[in-house]
Amino acid sequence: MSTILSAQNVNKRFKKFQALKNVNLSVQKGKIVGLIGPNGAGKTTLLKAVLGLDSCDGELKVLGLDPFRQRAELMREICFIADVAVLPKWIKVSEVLKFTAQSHPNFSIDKAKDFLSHTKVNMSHKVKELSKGMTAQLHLAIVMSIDAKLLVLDEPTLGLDILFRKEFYDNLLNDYFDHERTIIITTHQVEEIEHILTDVIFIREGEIVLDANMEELTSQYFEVMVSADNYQQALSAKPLTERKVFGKHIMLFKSDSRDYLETLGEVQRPSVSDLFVALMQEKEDAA
Amino acid sequence: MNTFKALLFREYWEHRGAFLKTPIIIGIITAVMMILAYLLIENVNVKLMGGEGIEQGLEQLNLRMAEDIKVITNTFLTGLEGLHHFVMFIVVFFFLLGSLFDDRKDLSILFWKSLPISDLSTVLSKLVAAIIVAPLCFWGILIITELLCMILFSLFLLINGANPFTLLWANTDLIGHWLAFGMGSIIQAVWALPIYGWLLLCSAWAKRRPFIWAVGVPAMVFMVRGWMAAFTFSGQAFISLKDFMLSLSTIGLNSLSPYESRADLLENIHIGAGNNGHTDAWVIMSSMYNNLFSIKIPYGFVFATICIALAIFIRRYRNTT
Repeated sequence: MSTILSAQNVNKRFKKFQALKNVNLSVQKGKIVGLIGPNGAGKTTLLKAVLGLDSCDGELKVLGLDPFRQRAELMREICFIADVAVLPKWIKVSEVLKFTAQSHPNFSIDKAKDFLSHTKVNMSHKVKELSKGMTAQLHLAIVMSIDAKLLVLDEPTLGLDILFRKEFYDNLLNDYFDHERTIIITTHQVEEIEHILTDVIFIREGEIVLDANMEELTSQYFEVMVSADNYQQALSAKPLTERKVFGKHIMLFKSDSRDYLETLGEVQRPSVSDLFVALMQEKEDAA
Repeated sequence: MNTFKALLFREYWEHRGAFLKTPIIIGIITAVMMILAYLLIENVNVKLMGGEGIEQGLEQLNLRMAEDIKVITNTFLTGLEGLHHFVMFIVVFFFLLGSLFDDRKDLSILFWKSLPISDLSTVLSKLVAAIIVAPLCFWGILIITELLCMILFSLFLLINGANPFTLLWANTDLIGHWLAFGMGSIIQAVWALPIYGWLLLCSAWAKRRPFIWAVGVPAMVFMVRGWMAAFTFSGQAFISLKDFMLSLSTIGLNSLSPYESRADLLENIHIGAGNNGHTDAWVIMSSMYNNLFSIKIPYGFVFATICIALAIFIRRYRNTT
């Protein structure tokens, strides 16, 4: 497998604020990576460095290139959606397609038109006449028609309703993704994407807290619905978190095997967001 | 250079309104004013024509009027072209001021930067749009406007029984005027280059209101230099300040009105068109050419290059406002 992205001791400082602290990362080809962290954790800073929009210290290579110095070159191979609102408002749909076709060597205008023919987006529309959802469809149509090695999505579905969000990810997964491509996604709506992720990276206060693949994660962490009878016994097994739902205690454990946990109650796969909360707490306790 | 062509089209698409509609509106206003002027002075004209024309005969009148017509059309066309140069400078001024700022304001820069286009080409495309695309748009519309005015003028002559072909068209050097406007646009760009570079720099730099930077910084420089001159009680400081402002004013005047081109502000002033045969297209062209050898132009080039290089550098890392 080849490495798409590698970061070694990447740091970024804004005056007095250290936005990234010694970030070490490596993303392999064919992965769908979720970059997850609270607001202000450094997600966007990290992505900006990856996309060559800002400089950083340390060794950062994307597809073997230095993103900040070789941005134009890098953009032939990667594409990104930063936010739904970034398409210029004044441009016509036909113009934005024509412009992309002329400036991007790996863009197929037929593919984009074909994709748009399934939507309400009309070629003669201006972007400002489109709804938020339609703008996102247009942007996704452009991005999906670019034969890129890496796709970076930073909150791509912000402000969209649930139908559009679902369609967005369905399209992405069915019509775009194959194992030659790599996707990095950040979003606050983790539940919606966790089933498509192969890897997760948790980031907190500029530090990478966890970098693991989903299988590894689900083989180490378990969520157990503990009945009242086993409560004390379960507590002694040191759960990471505990919450009470309908009189039952739901506890999260880190364990090498699920055999013992099954004696305590029903064992489930924890959601990424619960894991995230637990790991954040764990770090805080350790600190 | 497909990408660069696409970038220029991009500028055209975004600024069609300013680049095309502005001269179209000027054209419409000019035509309407011509018709109004004709309707208002028609009676006087008829009286003149009726009184003198019948006595002297149309043939003689044509001969006598030929020189007058030449002066009238030359003055009219020169004035119209001067107005276009003036308005074009204003349009380009505001275009450049927003060119590296507006897309940061609405965050669409993140889309532009997601395409494989270097910041160098982006910034240069704005400059080329200012010195080539906008003038081409103005030039095309100006040609149509001038033709329209000539046709209207011909109609007025026809109504009054004169032959527009021998009287008007034979005495008007339209091609010369069109060439002069084209050359004037190049001369304008050459003189205005330091201003354009400065506007690009302000546009790339400003976090808000690039206009304040573009106008405020030079104003501050003048004020500080003025105070320094006042506090040091140095006559020399005042003289150098005066020379400095004179140089800048010369650049400004040439940028606004290339037809009035001069190497120095105080050199041969004649306000208004029509003096000393200065409305003749070829005289204008040769005077514009002669003033190209001013030492102010290479200085302007150096300043413009520095500003544009800085704008490209700033464009690399400034993605928001």
